[in-house]
Amino acid sequence: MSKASILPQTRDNFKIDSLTSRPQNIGKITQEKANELGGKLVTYSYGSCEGGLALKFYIVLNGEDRVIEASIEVFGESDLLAVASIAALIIKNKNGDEMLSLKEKGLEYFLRENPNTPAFAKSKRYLTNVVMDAIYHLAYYLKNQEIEDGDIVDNFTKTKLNFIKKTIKDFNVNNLQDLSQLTRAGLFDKSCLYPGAGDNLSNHYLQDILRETLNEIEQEKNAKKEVVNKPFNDMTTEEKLAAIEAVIDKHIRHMLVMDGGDMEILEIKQNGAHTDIYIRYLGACNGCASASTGTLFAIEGILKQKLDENIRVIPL
Amino acid sequence: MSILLNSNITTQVSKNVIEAMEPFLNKAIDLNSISKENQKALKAYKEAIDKIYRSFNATDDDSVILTSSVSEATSQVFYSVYLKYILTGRKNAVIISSRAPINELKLARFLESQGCRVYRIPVTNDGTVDVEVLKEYLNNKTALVSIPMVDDESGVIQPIEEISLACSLHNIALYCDASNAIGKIPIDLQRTKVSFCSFGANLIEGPKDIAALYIANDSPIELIPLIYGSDFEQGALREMPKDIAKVIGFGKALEDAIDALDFEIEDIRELRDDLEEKILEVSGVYSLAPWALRTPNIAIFAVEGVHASMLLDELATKDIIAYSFSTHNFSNFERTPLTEINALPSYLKHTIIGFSLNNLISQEDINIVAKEFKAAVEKIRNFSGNLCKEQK
Repeated sequence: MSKASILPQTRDNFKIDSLTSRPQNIGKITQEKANELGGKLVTYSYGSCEGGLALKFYIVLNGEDRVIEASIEVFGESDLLAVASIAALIIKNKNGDEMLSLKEKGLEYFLRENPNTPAFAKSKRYLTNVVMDAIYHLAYYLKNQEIEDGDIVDNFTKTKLNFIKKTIKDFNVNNLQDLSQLTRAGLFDKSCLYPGAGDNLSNHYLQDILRETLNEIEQEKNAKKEVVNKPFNDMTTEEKLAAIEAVIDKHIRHMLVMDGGDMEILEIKQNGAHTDIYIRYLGACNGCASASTGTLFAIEGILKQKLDENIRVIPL
Repeated sequence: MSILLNSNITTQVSKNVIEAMEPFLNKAIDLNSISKENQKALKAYKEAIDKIYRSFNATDDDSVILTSSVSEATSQVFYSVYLKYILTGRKNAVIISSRAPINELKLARFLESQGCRVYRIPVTNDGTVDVEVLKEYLNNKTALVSIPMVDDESGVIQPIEEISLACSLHNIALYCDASNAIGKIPIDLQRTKVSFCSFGANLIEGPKDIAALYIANDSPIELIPLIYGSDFEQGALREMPKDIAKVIGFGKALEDAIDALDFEIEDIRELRDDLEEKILEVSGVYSLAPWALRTPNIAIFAVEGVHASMLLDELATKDIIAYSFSTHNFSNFERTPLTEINALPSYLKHTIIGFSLNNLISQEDINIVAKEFKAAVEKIRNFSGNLCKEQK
């Protein structure tokens, strides 16, 4: 619950309003037009009308498989017109690989009226996420590769398993409501949320998917923390981070915690021969007089001794 | 001026009602006091209560309690059934329609989670509850049958008389949500015996957030309060509304609505039929409820290839406000969609749009709406092309 939850879920975004009433790049591209442009017409369908959201891309490709013209047929909520308009715009002049480097955040920021306010009300956050998924599917199709979708989780909206897992990872989702608002799964027919939430049985329940995926993420994190046995200078930045974390956990953190403080690593930068570690003090350490003198030297000293002579610690 | 065609979602307060409410709006009224000012209010209050009783022909032995909304009334009935009958094991089943309004579906889901049996009675292909099926589920363990008098989306009038007879044979309580029936069709509770019946002022050009819950004096189940007041307030079943002006406005709105019944049935039906005829001229548009069974104000369609949300927004930019229960924020897909009843393709459930007329609509408005509807459908079909037909 938050302030946003007592507000009506109506849009009040001028940008989306104007794009919805005068959408760009929406509709069909005919073969004649493609011939005129001197390219090859490719179509790709995503989603299902039965689920209430479907897109059909019309793409004209040039000789280098680069998109020279794009247009999208749309069936869905009116706000989808705005998202699809922008989606068609951002895939222009790109090839499959470049499309895969696009991010949902970019699309969402594009639609914001004000940089600090999200483009959509909470209940429509799925729009950009789903359209971005459609773009990834299109990219794989253009690259002639299969994309693994997994089973259908929600029979009403036809939401697929791997899309849900990806959303959990990308958005750091930790509750069912957010997950359902970001993916549409369980938004209309609640059956797939957890057993007994709706009338139908489901092969997969969002509750289980969420728990399993969070476990996976946790395991991946722990796996990363394993310190590899090689000289500090040869390590990648991630491995360095793991090594430094290990030293801090073993030798430093308990000193700080005893005095009611703590620290975290913000960033590691390679600066010529030196490795700069940017840290932030937490709790009682934050603002403590010795934090920038005694404690800092102690931390730096231990890291230098255990890992590498060229380490510098910089508190922020 | 916008053309309001969503009178089954909300209506504007009529001039008559505002006039009736005006003298009491800025007063601090305490009905327990015998001062002159308060006595004047008391008189108007009593008249309003009389009007409420008269509007559906309740006898003085029956009770009516004023609640804040129809949903509150529904919740009170369902929670009472749960706390007094299901929880104690005296009864174990509740029957609702498979096209129940969303608040009833949520309450039913809650009852189910508490171990109560909920039977959702299917509707026949004309949109009415299948009474033969319903009869099979009635037995002495049934605590409550809840069927709305008129379907809130399609306006189909339900066979309440038949259901009421079947229920009274088994002495089972029958609850009717009449919010879409009042002022649209005549209601006579002496002829059609129901145990509970509720309707609000919202949809009859009255003030918002006030509703009445009728309780028959021979009702087989007893209610308990959700919102407590003193013993002398509304039979200790609910705290009395504090806004006296609202109650007076409610009475006036009901009186007007009942007076206008003849007008409504004749004139609005004519306009509605005209609109329906014009809209059905567009190809790929299907009417979803039979003409003869509908309240006179509603026309409802599925439009091939046009998502209801887009059509609503497109019409709204032309200042025409229609309604749809299949758009995202208002979605109620838990109940059987009208397209399924009419054996139409499944994806059309996203394209249902309705027009609910009120007495402010003129022939001119209807012509505008029909024209804009055609233009909007054509525009949106360009956006979606043959997308859905290809997928079939």
